[in-house]
Amino acid sequence: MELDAYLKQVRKGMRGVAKRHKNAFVDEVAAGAEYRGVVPTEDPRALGRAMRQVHGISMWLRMFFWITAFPLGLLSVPFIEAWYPAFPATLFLMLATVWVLLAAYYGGRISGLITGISAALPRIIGLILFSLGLDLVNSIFSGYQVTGGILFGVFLTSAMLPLLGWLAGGRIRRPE
Amino acid sequence: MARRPDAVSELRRGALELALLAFLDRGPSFSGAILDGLAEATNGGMALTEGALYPALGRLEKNGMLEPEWRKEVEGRRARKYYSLTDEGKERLVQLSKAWAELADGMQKLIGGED
Repeated sequence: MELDAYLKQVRKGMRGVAKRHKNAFVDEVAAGAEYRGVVPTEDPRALGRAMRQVHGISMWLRMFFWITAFPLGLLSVPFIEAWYPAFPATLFLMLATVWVLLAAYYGGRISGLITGISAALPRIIGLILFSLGLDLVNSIFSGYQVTGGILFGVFLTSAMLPLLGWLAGGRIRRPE
Repeated sequence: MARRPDAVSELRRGALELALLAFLDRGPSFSGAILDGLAEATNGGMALTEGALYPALGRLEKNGMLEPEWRKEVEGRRARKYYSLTDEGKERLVQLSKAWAELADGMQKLIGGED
């Protein structure tokens, strides 16, 4: 493989890493190859991914994960179904879970935790509001009875999101 | 399924940080020269691949053990990233060297059957 093609693959492996780290590393690999007169034999994408584990993803990408998790969490609040019975809140809960796992995979523990909190926050707010006005809600929306069991389920799934982010972020095998 | 590294690779991996710090204690160096120099200095015992070297250097730099400096030594050639030990790196080298000596001594006694 030519050096330029190799470096291009390294960059792909480092997707999500801050540009300055990416550029510096590619320059370093290029200088090393120039000195030794050979293109590295290491799988370039694996090398890039290993360096992503070292540097982590950029702050912009972390923030993107955090911010996007909030509306996903909001849309997963099951009480929306009181107003819109056909609303796929469970689907959004699944999407939010996948989003948290992605944030944890790319960004590590802290990123997974914060993304999980961001997704759980609107659910917890919804839970508190509906807990306080449970009787009122049940009297208005007669077709959608909120029970203590449902509230507990929402609490559990909400608490699961940050926990999942934290645990999944710690499971990433750091390169040796 | 990921292949399990063999025991020899595991041993090398454990000694990698110490090897890099000890090599850079001789003077600042850059990745290409470290790869060749380390293999030569250890009679091939620490012949590394780029996949092991770069992340290890990156971690040491991130942890404040190494100080990087870009140097353009020859016109028309690419600038090289030189690494040198920081004070923290020097302290770490002393710690690891001591631990290594104790470990090697103990293991030698065990393997050699000395009392």
